[in-house]
Amino acid sequence: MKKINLVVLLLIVITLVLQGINIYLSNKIAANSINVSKMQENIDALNEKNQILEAKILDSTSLDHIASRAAQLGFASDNKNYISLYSPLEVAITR
Amino acid sequence: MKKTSNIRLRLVLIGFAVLFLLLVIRLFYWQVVNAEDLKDYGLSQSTESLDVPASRGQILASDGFALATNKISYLVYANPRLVSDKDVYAQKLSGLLDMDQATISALLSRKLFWVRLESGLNDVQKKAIDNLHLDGIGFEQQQERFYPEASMAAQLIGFVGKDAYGNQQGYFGLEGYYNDQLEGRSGSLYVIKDALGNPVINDIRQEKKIDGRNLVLTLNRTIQYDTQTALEQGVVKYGGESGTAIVMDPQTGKVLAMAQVPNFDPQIYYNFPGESYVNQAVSDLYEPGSTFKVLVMSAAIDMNLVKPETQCNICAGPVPIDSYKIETWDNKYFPNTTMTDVIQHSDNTGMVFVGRKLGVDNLVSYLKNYGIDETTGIDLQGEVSGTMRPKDQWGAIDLATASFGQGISVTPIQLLTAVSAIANGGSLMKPYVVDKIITDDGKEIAIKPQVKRRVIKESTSQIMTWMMVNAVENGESKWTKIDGYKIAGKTGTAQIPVAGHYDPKNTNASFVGFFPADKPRFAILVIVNKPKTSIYGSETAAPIFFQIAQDLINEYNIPPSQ
Repeated sequence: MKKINLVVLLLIVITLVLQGINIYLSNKIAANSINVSKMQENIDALNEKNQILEAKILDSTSLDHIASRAAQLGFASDNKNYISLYSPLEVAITR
Repeated sequence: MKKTSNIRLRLVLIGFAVLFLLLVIRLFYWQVVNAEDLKDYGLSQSTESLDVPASRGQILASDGFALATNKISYLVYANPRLVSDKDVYAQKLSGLLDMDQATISALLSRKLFWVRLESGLNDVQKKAIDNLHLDGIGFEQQQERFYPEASMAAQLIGFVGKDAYGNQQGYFGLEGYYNDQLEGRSGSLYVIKDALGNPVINDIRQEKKIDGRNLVLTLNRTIQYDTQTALEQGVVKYGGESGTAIVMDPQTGKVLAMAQVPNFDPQIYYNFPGESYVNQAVSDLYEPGSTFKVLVMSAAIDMNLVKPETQCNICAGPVPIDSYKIETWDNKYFPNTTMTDVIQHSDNTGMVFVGRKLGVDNLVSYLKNYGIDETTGIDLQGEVSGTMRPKDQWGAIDLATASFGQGISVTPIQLLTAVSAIANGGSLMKPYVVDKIITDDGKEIAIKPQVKRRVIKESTSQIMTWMMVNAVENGESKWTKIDGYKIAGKTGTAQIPVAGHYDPKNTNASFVGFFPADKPRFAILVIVNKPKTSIYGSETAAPIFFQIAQDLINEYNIPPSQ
């Protein structure tokens, strides 16, 4: 009889300990979930920012944009910029 | 007594059996017949499903620069029930949105919970509205197609619109042709909820989305820009109605540039007329005129029917055929002219001589080998092909006119692909625009050059190349050629068929060629439709051609020919 009481007591203790562990872990998971959620929000915000910046870079480095900016600054294309090694072009007019 | 109790026992047994049967039937109803509905009902109570849209794939130039990509934009909406003073709201918002005060005020007066104000806002506009701190005004993030180079290669790239269900759908060019590859597959996110309806973060299940595949093009961005600029300036300078230019690597069939005037901006395609979306390079049939002569001449040389020094014995004057008379374009005639001079002078009577030597059977057979009556198979939406009439329907006049490129229709891409066969030693290549497809997980699928068939012998290609070089050096377009470079080319001035006859005033002016002649790296075709300053290809399309060639020389550092 004494042995049975001991077993029952042990079972009750184990149950209480397990319940305590369960409560602790649940709280831990809930806290982690909040952290994960915050991190996910940060990732989304950074991704959004990256995409916006990427679009701005593409816009600014497009040939169309560069050409119009160059024209504004007074640059013009030079079609005779190739120097021939075989039949050299004149680099200075002497006559 | 015993008998009565047995009956009662059996009755109870039967009763239990019936109840058990009913239970089985009910369970069968819930677990088999109604299982799916019950499952869905359970899921709807315990989970929340969110659609995760796939990102549309990018279209990249050969240098990796995005020609079509996605960018974030915002839709601004209002909840009119939370708006305190609609006139103040309208006044503040009208300065930041592309809407007038009255329209905003009218929208805010509607008795709804959600009213769309404007979409396509950028982050600066969003921030400016945010800073107003207006209650009842919110934003929804959206993905929209973005073309950083604006109208560059617009007809080749196409655009993204909506299908009948409001989903993104690519139309025209690559957006249309590769829509299945670009669109990807949307995924779903299932968030498990607890008894109070709060999401359980560590128990998220998902059906993974598959982003669209990226396309890496053969297109060289710098060459495309230069080609587009040269064509635009040329068409304006020569008063043309429209123009097309293609630059191709004749050894592989890679398209390096494909430009068209007039153009459109794929970002705001709906502001342009529908006909500007059509890629003339693959969808426009035209009579090529004298640029076609190089194909007919190469066929006759390939069959040993003529040689460069063969003399024409019918070239002393106009050639009568049935009730028609074939004349030269400038009414100058060269008795006993050689085949080299026939190409140099673009002599129609000389080509009639060549056509007669070939005969209908051989001419049709060679033109078919050159791919004139079939689509090239280029990976762009909307490619068409002209059809050649059956051999038994060819008369003497049809043979004569076809020999100098009239009475027969081709698309610009067909002609350039055929001329590229002369440039590369005789092989007809399949032209292509997409060089690589990159999958969602980074795997690269390379597209290899494809030889369709051999059309002419290598020796023929060499002879024809030098006849075309001679045409550039000594022909009508020599005034605009680039000194120091051997460029093979041919002018074209074609009459335009209109309702059963030829337009007496307008022409299609063109120039086709390739260089460096000893080892061609670039084949170029330029077409100017209905130029006004001059009707001739040598005075309109040729200078544009040589401008593009000069740009290619500069871009690729091509040394002069020795």
